[in-house]
Amino acid sequence: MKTSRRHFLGGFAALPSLKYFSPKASAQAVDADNFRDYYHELGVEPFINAIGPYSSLGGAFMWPEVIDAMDYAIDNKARMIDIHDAVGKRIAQMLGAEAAMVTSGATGAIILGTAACMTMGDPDKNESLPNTSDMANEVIILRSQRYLYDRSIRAPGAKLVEVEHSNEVADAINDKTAMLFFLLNRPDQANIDIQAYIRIAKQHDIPIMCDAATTVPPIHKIADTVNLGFDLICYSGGKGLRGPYSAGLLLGRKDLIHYARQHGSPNHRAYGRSMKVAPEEYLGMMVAVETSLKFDEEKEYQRQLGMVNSMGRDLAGLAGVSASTHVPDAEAREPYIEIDWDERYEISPASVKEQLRNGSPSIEVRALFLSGGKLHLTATMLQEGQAAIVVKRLKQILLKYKSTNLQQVTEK
Amino acid sequence: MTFRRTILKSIAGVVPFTLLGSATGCSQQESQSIPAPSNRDYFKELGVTPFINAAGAYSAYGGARMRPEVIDAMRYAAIRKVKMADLHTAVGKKIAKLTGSEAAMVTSGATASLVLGTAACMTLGDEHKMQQLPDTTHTKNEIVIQKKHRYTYDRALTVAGGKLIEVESEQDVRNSVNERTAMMFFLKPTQQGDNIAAQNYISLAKELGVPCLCDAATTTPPATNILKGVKEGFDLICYSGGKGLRGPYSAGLLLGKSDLIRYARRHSAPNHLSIGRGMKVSSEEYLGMLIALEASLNVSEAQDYLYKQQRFENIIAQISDIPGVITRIFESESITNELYLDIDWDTNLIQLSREEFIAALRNHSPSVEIRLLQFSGGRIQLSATVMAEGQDAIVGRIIREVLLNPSYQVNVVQDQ
Repeated sequence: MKTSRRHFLGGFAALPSLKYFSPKASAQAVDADNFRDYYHELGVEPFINAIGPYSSLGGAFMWPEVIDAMDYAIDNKARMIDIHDAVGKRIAQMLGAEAAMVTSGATGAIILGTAACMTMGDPDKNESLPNTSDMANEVIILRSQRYLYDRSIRAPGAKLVEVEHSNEVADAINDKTAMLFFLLNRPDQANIDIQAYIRIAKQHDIPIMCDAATTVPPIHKIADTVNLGFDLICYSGGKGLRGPYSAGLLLGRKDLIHYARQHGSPNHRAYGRSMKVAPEEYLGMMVAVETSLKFDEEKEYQRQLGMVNSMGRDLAGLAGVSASTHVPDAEAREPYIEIDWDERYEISPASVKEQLRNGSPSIEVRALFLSGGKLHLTATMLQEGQAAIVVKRLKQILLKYKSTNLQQVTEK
Repeated sequence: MTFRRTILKSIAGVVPFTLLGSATGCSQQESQSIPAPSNRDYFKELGVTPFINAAGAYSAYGGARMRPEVIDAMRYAAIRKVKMADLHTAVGKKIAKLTGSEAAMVTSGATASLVLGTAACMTLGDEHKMQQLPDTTHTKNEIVIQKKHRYTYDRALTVAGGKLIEVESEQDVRNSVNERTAMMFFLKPTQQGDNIAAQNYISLAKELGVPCLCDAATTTPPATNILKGVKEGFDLICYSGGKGLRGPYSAGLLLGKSDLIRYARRHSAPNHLSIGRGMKVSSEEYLGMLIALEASLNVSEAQDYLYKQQRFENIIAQISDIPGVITRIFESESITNELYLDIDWDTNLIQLSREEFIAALRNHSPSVEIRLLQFSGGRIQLSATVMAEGQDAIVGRIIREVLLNPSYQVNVVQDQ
C-alpha cells in the first residue's frame, strides 16, 4: 500500500527524516508491502485538530519518552503491586505530594478518590459500593462549580449536596458528609476563597478533593496546587501532561491514596476493577510527569502563540473578519484566537464549525458554549502545514456565504 | 525477547518527526538533536524486581505478552489521531464481522464488559435512567444468577447498581423473574458446573423476555471459542483482551445484540455523562484489540501448543534426573486448550513443602512466579503462556537449584 502510506505520513509531518532511522528500521519503514495502514483499511479518516487534546479526539500526542517507557514495560514484566508502589512513590516525590497513584484518567481519579473518602478503608464498605446506605456518602459541592464531570462523583454512590456560597459549607456538614469537592480554575472561582474552603474542611476533619484535570500546562501549577492543602487532587494524564490517553493522576494524603488503591485494579472485587491501568500506562505516566517537568514550556507556548497569531493575521485579511488572540487565565495555558465576522458573511459560527467538520479533511474547531458561541482555534494539536489548510478552508467557507448585498452593507 | 528493540528502532525513529517535530515546531535541524531511544532500565531505577512469569496471564502479573502484531498496531495508533467515535464504530463493525456477532465494542477489560453490559440491560438506552445510575430507584436492577455461578467477579454486576438474585432451578428462575428483572447472568466455564445448562438458560431468558449476558472471559485460547460462544445465542458475551487473546492489558470485548451494544457504548468513555467514563480505552488499545483478535483467529493452534510443550520439555530436561521428582505435562480439561506442567516430589527425599518451594522461587534472583492450585490439594503448576523463549532454561535451572538444596532454600526464605 504504497500510496496510502505516503498519503498518511505526508499528511502528518515530513518523512525525509528516514535517513535518521537505524538501517533496519528504515528498511522496514520503506518496505511498503510490510506497512499496514489500519485506519485506511477500516475507512477511518484522519482529521485536523484545531480545538485541542479532547478525549473524544484521542487526547494529546504522547512524549517520545513516554512511548520509550511503554515499550520497556511491554518487554519487561514486573508484579503490578510493585510497579504501583514504586511509581506512586516517584510521582509523589516529583510533585511534592504525600502519595500518588496512576488512574485510568481524571475521571478514574475522581471516582476512586470519592470512593476512598466514603469508605476510608473499611472492607465491608468497600465491598458494598455503590450501595452507600451504611456510610457517609454526601459530597458538598458549590452550585457554581456543578459541571459535566460531577457525574463521576455520583458513580460510586455519592450524593451531591449543593451549597450556594462557601460560607454555607460549614452548615451543610453533618454525619453523612464524606467529602468536600472543589473544581479548580473555573472563571467563577474569583469570588471563592479557596483557603477558607480548605480551612473549613480541615476544621471538620472532612477530606477535600480537588479536580484540577484541566489546569496543566503549566506543569509547575501542580506543585502550587499541591501546596494549597487539598487532601486529594485529580489530574488528566493524556492531555496537558502528554502521557497515555487512558491515564490520570490522583495525588494526596497517604491514607486516602492507600484506600483509593484498594478500590482499583487489579484487586478482584474492587469497585473500580474495571478501570484497569496497564503497566505500560503506569510507567508511561511517570515518565510523562518527568518529561513535562523538564520541558521548555515557554518555548512551546511561544510557538503556539506564533501559530495562532499568524492564522489570525491571515484571516483578518478578509474584509469584515477580525481575529483576536487570547490566553485563558483559567484552565490550561494554551493560546487561542477568536474569529469574528460581521454581517457581510451570512453564516453562524456553529454552521462554520459544522462545515469544517464535514469537509475533507475534517477539521475540528471550538464553537461551544464555553466560547460564547464564537469560533476558536488552537494550535496545541496542529501538525506542520495544517494551519494553512485550516485558514484556507475557513476563508473558503466565509466567502461562500458572503452577502450578495455587500455593497449596501459597506456603504452604511 | 526484544520487541523493545524493534519498536524503538521504528517507533522512536518516527516519533520525533511526527510528534516532537511538529508539536514543538522543531525544524528538521533541531529534530536531529533529539536523543536516540534511551537505554534506561526503568525498573532498576525504581527498585522494582522484574520476574519470570511461569504462573499465567494474571492481571496482577501484568497479563499476557502482547503479540508483535498488536504492538505494531498500537505503535501505529500512537502517532495518528482519529476521532474516537469513528474508530469505535469501525473497529466494532470489524470485530462483529470477525466473531459472527451482531455488534461489538472494545472495553477496558472483561470486568468493564460486565459493568457496561449490565448497565445496558438495566437502562435499555433511557437517557434519564442512564444518568441516574447507580441509583436504580426507577430502573430495573435485578440480576438473576445461578448459585453455582457466584464467583469473584460477580462484584462487577453490582457496580452499576445491580442486585443479585440467586437461583438453583428453572422453576426458581420463573419465580424470580418480575418487572424489576434486568438481566439473566451466565458464567462459563464454572468450577462447580451449572444447575441449568447454557441452552436451557438461554431459552428460558428468551421465553421470559430478559436479556442474557455471559461472562466467557477465560474461555480463550483458542480464539475460535469466541465464534462458538457467539453462536450459542447469548444477548451479550464478555471476553478478556489481555489474557488468552494476547491483546492490550486493559482491554476486553463485549459482543452481542446491536441495540444492547449501542446502549453499552453510551455508558462508556468518552461520553461525559456515562457511568463508565472512568473505564477509558485509548485508540492504541482499541485498534490493538482488533488486531489481537484477528491474529489470534489466524494463529496456528498446533504451533502455539508446540511452543508451550517445548518450554516445558526444556524445564523437565533440567530436573528429571533429580531423585523423587515427578513431572507431567497435561492439557487443561476446561474449554481452553491451555497446557500445564505439574511438578511434584517425594518429600521424604526432598524436604521442602510446596509453600516453601514457591517462596524460594519468588525470592530467587531472578524471581519466578508459579501457581499453587488451592483446590487440587495444593498442586504445583507451571504455565508457559507468558514465558518467553529462553526463560524456560532459567526457570529449569532455578527449580533444579531449589530442589537440590532444600534446607538452604528454606533458610533463605525464613531470613526474609
